[in-house]
Amino acid sequence: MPSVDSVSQGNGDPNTPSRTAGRQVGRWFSIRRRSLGMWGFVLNRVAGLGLVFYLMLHLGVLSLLTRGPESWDSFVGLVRHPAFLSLDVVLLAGIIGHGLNGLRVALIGTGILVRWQRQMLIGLGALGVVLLIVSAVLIFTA
Amino acid sequence: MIGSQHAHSAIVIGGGSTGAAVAHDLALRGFSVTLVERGEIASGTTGRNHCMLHSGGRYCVKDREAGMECIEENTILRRIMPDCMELNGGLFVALNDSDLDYLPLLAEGCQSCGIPYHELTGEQAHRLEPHLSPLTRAAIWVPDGVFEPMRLCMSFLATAKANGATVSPYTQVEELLLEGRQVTGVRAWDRSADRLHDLHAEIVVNASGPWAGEIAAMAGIDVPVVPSPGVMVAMAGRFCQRVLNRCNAASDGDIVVPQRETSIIGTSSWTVDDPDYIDIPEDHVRLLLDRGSEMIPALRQASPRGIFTVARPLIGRKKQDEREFSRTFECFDHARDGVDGFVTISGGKTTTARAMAEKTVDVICRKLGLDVPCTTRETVLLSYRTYYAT
Amino acid sequence: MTWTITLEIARHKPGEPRRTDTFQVSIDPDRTVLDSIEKVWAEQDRSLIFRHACHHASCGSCAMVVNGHEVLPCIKPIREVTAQGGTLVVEPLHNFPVIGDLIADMRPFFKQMQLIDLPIVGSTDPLPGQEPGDYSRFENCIECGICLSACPVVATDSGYLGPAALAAAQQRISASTNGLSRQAWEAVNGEHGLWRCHATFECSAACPSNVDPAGKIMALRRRMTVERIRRLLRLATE
Repeated sequence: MPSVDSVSQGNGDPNTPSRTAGRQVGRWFSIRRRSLGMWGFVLNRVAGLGLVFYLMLHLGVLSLLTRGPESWDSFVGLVRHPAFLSLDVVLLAGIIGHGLNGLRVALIGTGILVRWQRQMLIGLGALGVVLLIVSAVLIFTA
Repeated sequence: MIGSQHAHSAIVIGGGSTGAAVAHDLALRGFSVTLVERGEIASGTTGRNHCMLHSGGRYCVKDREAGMECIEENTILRRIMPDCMELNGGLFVALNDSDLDYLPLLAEGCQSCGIPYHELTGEQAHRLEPHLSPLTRAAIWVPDGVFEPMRLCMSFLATAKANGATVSPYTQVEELLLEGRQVTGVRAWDRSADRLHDLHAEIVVNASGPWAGEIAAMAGIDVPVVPSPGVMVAMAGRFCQRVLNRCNAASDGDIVVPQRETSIIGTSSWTVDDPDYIDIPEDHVRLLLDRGSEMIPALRQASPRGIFTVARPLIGRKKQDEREFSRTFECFDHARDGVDGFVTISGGKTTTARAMAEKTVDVICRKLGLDVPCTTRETVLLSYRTYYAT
Repeated sequence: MTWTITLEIARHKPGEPRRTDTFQVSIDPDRTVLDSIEKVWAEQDRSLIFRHACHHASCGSCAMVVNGHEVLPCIKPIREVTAQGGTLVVEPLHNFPVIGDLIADMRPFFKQMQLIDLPIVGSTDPLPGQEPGDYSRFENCIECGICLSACPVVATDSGYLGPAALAAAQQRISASTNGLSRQAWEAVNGEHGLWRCHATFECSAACPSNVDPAGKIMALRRRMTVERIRRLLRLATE
């Protein structure tokens, strides 16, 4: 049997294992002309990573509470700035998107409404956009 | 399963149905076998065939021997390769007076060849196959079937490998190795590693189909094999469950073979010099669509999924009319050409590959003074998936 | 009619660095991508290796990636993927080890299919209007590997059973009372089985043979979830 090159199967090209791993995980984020389902998968991953990152930040921020009312109040003053409110909207987009898509994945992942997975993505996506706009308005006008 | 091992070795050139069946038979009879195939298994003639397990109905009128051989091999293949074929039977369909004139000849032919058959009225035929043309006047049922040529080859080779054979795809024979007037092996180009190496064996079997002439020429031998392509058109849609043949003497476009969700119309015939790449004549495609639609009018609204062609190996000299070439096979022991250790097996069709192999390996055993009986009639083949197990 | 197109074909022999070879081909645009590759081999470069057999999407052997998409080149007319003067980038399937050039190593894949052991021919219903009878038919799955190439989970989990094998498992269970072998069940229900799927649906989008592996995986999940709930309820009421 001819010898086999195992580069693409995660067995590792003996020369550059890290590049191989990178190429493989890269497949998680390839959306070029992929199906809607793939878009859902990629956005969920991006939002998920973003939310994890935010969680770290949030915990870090909360630790300011241990430093007394002054550092907390000055921080709150900072985040009332429109630039930060915009970031809040981005955060909310991640939460709404990840949450609604997560609902969709939970349903189809147990075999419910599988035939409607594309429609659900579009429908819930539209709902998410509406929710986001309403929330953004509330955030900026409150 | 294998007979006792002896010291004899063989190289089989060609990984189509002929080569695969020969390698299987050789391995069962205790040979140490290496099969070399230039491309992928079944990438030549066999892969692109009509996928039809012949009942023999197409041959029984003009060639009784071929008809009998078909039905015998049909029965054997059902036994040794179970669960790998659509076995819904076949119909010969009579649409007009000329077809009706042929019908009794066909019935008689089936009878004399031992091919099970029964006659049907047009109505009965319609109940069996609702998409048949409303012009259908009568039909004859025969035990045709549908296989997949690549998986058939893989089944034979999986079994051969389990019995010790080596299969080398992507390996092209560049030269036959000769010592005086004896073929001692081949010089092979392993195209996957881009490496030349020599393989030695006592007997080299040329099972390269339409390329048999090219291979034989490497030993200075002229083998009368003419590359003769035909066009096939696989239409999207399953319009019948049985193989449909036109009830007439064999002609172009008179068969429709169902397979999954396609209906394959075939075939036509002409000759070429170079079988490596063949242009598809537009008029052949149109003819196939026209003729296929005569039996199944719905084919006119269907769209083609694949249009393909490949050369068949027909035995004979080029000047004859292509359809007049014998469809039987022939095994050439080149000792008669003054070259030892070399045989060619050519012609034939996939339905009779096992029989071709039996005859070839019988010839080889005689040449080597071996008395080992053939057991391929009864040996059930391994699942084609195990071809990739090793 | 003839078009002149460019083929950029991935080349690789073991021990050598990968490269891309560029070829110009004159070919009738109604012929297929596979025909153009075969023409390159026949007329320009005999060292090119690629798989093909049936040329009508039943053997599954020619599967590859053309312009970033998994396809069966044997049923892909050139005019559907490019224009006169256009370029086709041709690569082997993703997520498989490569034996050379365009040839993926199918051995691990077929081991998975052998484990599930779905008979490739099953029974089928009569056609509409057809007299009832026992009809047999090749299963839709042609074992081409396209779904594995498209699946992002296969890309990162080399132990994942993959869409084809899981779809075959569902097909086998729903078609017969025989079910899967114990070993197959453990694989399907295990860490790298059925539950590893992330509902990307790339497999179903890419499948050239109407298998809908994602749909089958979810159907199998539904079946198993219902089973589990039933069992829990039975335990609860005992």
